[in-house]
Amino acid sequence: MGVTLSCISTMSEQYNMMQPDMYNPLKRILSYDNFDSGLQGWMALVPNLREDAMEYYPGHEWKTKWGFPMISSGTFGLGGTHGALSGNYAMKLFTRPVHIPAEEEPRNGSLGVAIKRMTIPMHTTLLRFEMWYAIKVEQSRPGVGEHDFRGFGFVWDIQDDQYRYFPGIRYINSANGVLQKRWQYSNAEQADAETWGTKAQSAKTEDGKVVFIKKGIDPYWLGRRFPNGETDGFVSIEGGDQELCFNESSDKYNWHYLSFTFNLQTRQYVDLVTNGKQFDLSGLGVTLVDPYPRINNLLNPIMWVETDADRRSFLFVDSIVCSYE
Amino acid sequence: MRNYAVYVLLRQEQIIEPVTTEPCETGWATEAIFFLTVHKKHQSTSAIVARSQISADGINWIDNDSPPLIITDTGTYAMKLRDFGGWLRLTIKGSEGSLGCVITSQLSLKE
Repeated sequence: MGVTLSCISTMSEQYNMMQPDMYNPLKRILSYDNFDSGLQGWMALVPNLREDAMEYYPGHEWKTKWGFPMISSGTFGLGGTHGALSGNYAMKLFTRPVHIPAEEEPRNGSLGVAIKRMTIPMHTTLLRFEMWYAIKVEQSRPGVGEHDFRGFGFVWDIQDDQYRYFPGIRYINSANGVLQKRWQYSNAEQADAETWGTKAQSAKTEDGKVVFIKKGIDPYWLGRRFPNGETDGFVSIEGGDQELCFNESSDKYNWHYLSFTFNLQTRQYVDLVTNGKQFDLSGLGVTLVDPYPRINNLLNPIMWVETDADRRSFLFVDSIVCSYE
Repeated sequence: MRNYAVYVLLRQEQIIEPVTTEPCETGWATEAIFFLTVHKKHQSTSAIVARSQISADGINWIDNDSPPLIITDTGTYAMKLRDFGGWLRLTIKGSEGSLGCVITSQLSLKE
């Protein structure tokens, strides 16, 4: 108990250091990440290791090359250093300059993925993820590059007493060079188990049985994909069209606020707020999957960025607050 | 307390063509070490040459003035760097063109 109180105190102290109007958290702060003091738990997403060797399972190599989070000052050749919204440093998530058509599964670093690993606090009903973010493509060629930025998203990877599920949101900006500009929520009910994704050996149960990837797991790269950027893992939000502030030059970007709230008791969505607009998601559910071994009470926030060209795409994150009540 | 981070640039990756690792922003760090582990090396590869590069913007790169690693056998090697500014990356190629190896590479950064 003493350790718990100590942690809450530390978080409260950190939260009090925030600019007070930057966030609208729920009653209790679970984490506050301001990337002026490191990555604070956000790290690369890599496959599980084999039990018998310090190697990845055969067939998982395509998941070892995702872009990873790094500390960034947002520096450009002619514009100089952006800094962050608060302080000098943000977390930057990048893709490699690898073009994969929208209808094909992401691979070879066409996504950048960052994950933090926690467990669900007691008495959690509502869970809120907030961040200040900016999007851009690499200034590797002339042009604003808006058509080269496919999208980005956020999911919680959750396993409660009964189910594993991935509530989250995705912004699809461009697919095969055609602007889309709409928000989606994570739900894989329209998918079928056979086409969900690569079947590959992964974590084993206590009795040694092989666990395969189930429909609804890892929706940011699994499930069928289509030329307009739709995937089996996400459903476009009704009235979810929105222009973000991409800016007019390839070396300028703007910070956006985002808040995403989910109800853990009903396992239903609440809302998404970003760029001055609230999207009501009430009544929408997630795809429930039988639990996996060794991840009881898992609570992992995950975010990613997708490129639509052979050009790096970036998601900059000034800071993040996870809260609950 | 000083900041510290390791970015993994190559994970047990099979390399048969020259590679350049992803650009890393390093402005917050004063010390950098590129670690390079050669797990396997094909006999036709005479030596693996790994050279660090620096940049002001992450787009235009020049060779760093530190000596390259020239690796002729499997094992783990280190390249220690200072005064590298805000960006670092590593180029890896074969000394005589031919390249066949499995490599893990990490960039260790310390404030």
